[in-house]
Amino acid sequence: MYVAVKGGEKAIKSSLKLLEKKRKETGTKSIEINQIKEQLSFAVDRVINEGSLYDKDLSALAIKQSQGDLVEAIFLLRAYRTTLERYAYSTAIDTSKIIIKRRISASFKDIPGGQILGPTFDYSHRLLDFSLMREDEINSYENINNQEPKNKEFPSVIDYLNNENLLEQEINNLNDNPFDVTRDPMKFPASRDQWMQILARGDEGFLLGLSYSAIRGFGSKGTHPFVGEIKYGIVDIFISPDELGFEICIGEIEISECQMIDQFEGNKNTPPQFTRGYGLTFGYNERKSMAISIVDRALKSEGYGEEIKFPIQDQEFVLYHADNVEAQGFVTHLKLPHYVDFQGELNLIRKLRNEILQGKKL
Amino acid sequence: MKTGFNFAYLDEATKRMIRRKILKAICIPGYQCPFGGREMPLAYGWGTGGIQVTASIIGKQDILKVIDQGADDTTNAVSIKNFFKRVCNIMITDRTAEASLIQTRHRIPETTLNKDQIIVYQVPQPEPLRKLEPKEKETRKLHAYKEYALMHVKLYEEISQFGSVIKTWAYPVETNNRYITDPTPIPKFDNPKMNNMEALQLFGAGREKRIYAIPPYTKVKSLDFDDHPFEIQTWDECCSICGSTKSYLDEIIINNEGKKNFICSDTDFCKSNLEKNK
Amino acid sequence: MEYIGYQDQTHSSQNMFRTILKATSFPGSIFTVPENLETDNVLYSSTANIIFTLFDIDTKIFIDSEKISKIQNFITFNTNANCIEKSNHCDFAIIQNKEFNIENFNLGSDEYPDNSSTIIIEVEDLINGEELIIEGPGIEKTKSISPTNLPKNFQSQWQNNNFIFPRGVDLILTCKDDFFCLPRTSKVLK
Repeated sequence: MYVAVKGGEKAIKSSLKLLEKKRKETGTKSIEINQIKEQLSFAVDRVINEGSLYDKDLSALAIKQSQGDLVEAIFLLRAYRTTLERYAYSTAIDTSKIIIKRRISASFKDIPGGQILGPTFDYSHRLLDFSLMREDEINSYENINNQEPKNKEFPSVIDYLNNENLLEQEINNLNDNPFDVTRDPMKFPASRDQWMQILARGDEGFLLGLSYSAIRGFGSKGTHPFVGEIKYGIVDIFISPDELGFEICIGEIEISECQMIDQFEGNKNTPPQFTRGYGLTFGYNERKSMAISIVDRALKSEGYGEEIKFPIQDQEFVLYHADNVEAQGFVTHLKLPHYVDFQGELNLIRKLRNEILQGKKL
Repeated sequence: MKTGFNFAYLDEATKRMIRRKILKAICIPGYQCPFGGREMPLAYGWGTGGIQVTASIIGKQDILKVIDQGADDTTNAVSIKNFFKRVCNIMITDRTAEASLIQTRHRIPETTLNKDQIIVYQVPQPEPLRKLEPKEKETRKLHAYKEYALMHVKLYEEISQFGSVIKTWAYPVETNNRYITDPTPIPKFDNPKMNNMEALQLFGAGREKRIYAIPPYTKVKSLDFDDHPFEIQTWDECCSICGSTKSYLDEIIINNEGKKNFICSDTDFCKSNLEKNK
Repeated sequence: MEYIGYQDQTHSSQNMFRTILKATSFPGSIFTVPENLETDNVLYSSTANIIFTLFDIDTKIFIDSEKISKIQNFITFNTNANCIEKSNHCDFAIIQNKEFNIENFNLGSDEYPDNSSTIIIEVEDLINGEELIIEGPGIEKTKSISPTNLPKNFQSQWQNNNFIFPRGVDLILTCKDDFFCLPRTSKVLK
């Protein structure tokens, strides 16, 4: 007699072995964690963001273990994060005190402190570099005579517009007890601290698509946002333990920040003004910080009393679906057996068809 | 056994947070209690809510049973059992009657549960009204004011269109005359087992970060109308292994011509029944 | 002050939690805590067990007792929980005084009724007081409880607590090593 193949235990064991085999099959040299960290740094930076854990070594390890599946690597890092105890909350970082690596503004031709192009793919021609196919040594590189920026402080460029009240004030009431999406379930209407955290951990592809939809026409008023300023650099992290009563620096992190300027046509109480969208990410993640700044601006729509017409303006739509660890889990769970439920549907459809075919009902 | 992780994976602070939520959930039967769900090393949608609830209550003395679709040996059930073996080193059983803790996906065992047992359901979508109203802000209000017309209208529409309610699984129930509750994607066949069950029923939704509970001896009523009373599934066939006519049956296609056989979905029940009849 | 809590925090608190879980599931049934904890007569052993199992830095505690400062020290030192002065903001309350009013505690909201106080009441005796018959979820038919030291108008306070369901408070009554739970769903029959 035929019996359904279940034997889960055995199947799982073999499956894990096959996965390992996939990585080792042809006997190539094992990739070192450092190689991933330095030569695949953009992947590493994506994983620390969406994995919500600033640890480039572990990020590299996760990328290696997941064989380059970044969503899987992000998942590994998140699951590891669960086991870590929270010791303290840092104070808000000050992005004007930054060791700058890149800083540009698209809204002003020149800015105090200057435009600094830094490392970027922007002006590389996207031509495959076949010389990389056979690259033996990477420890020699052309030493660029890079002038260290003289400034140590880079105040936000767009704040210059504040003098004329042309730009909305950034809300400065830093909450002592910021929402913590890693510990508390989401609440609606969402507060800005809550949505900024979700966006920082959100899937880059999802946010990129959303922000694209907004500037293409599925967003409020369809005007064109302006990049006020983009920064990439290193900032210090401080904590302020109660028992000490003063701040101590516990380390530094790389960040990418984007200040986007958008329009607001004003209402009865407020004259027209520029509004802001803000994006911040760990590491070098400029594209994502830009996407976040556009989504941030759209999520403020409700606060401005703008009509909520498009997906990007809808808090629940954006915030519930931005997390790729949640999304990938739920989409792939469809692979799990559902035959008990399917049996119910089978019974029902047979019954309904029988009733109709026998003319019992309808 | 050294695992490198805390007993049951979660740190003690997380367990305490979940434990406090579970207690509140029991005090408000059927109410979806938000909790600070954590990422688990298993994927969302694959039982992370159930796993967090189980991890928060499990102890050395427990005997754990895990089923998926009623079976102990389906891959995801095996995977979850392996996880708990690894992080708790506890006893595992297939026998419903022996288990002190049962984690399940999509079924309630056929064997009646007793007051010393706890059943933990994995929940994909805790909100029974979600398909009718996508916004959490709105559904929370509907529950708060017991405003369930939406659901009754939906069921009524099904009856007028198809002659009966066509929901065959995740058939909504009313808990303790108050909250409309999602029984998880169990077949409606299992709904009556929830009513006045002696065992504590806990529900964990990891992705949606909700915990709810149905205490023992609590009224659980499947929604229906006087002229269209709730009915469970029935089969003309019996189990081709143990001969049971009382259990939920899975349909198995046994050849390319589409010939089918029926077997019990609850593998432990099937085995016990076979032994009994020998 | 010396830490007097569990030697094995993980397993002892798990064991105690399961006892509380069972007590919450079966209202009115008296349970004995698995470990006796000596608190220098500040609190009952059962209360201390609940504290060590459920309190931490994320919980707000209100205390109503003659021994408030001793209890406060005990809780802060051992669990890091925050003792607060506003009863209507607390997650847990510890009450040793006979008179209290449920309405002064956090009753939760209609949307989030779980955001409400659990009140731990230390009484002199769990079985020799005036008999009350209760029914509700977790109780097969009815259950008789007879704690002492409850406020005179407890019945009407509790009826009101039932009336505002799903809002409301939940009670744990403790005495020495024993305790029972009275969740908001338990109704007192006349």
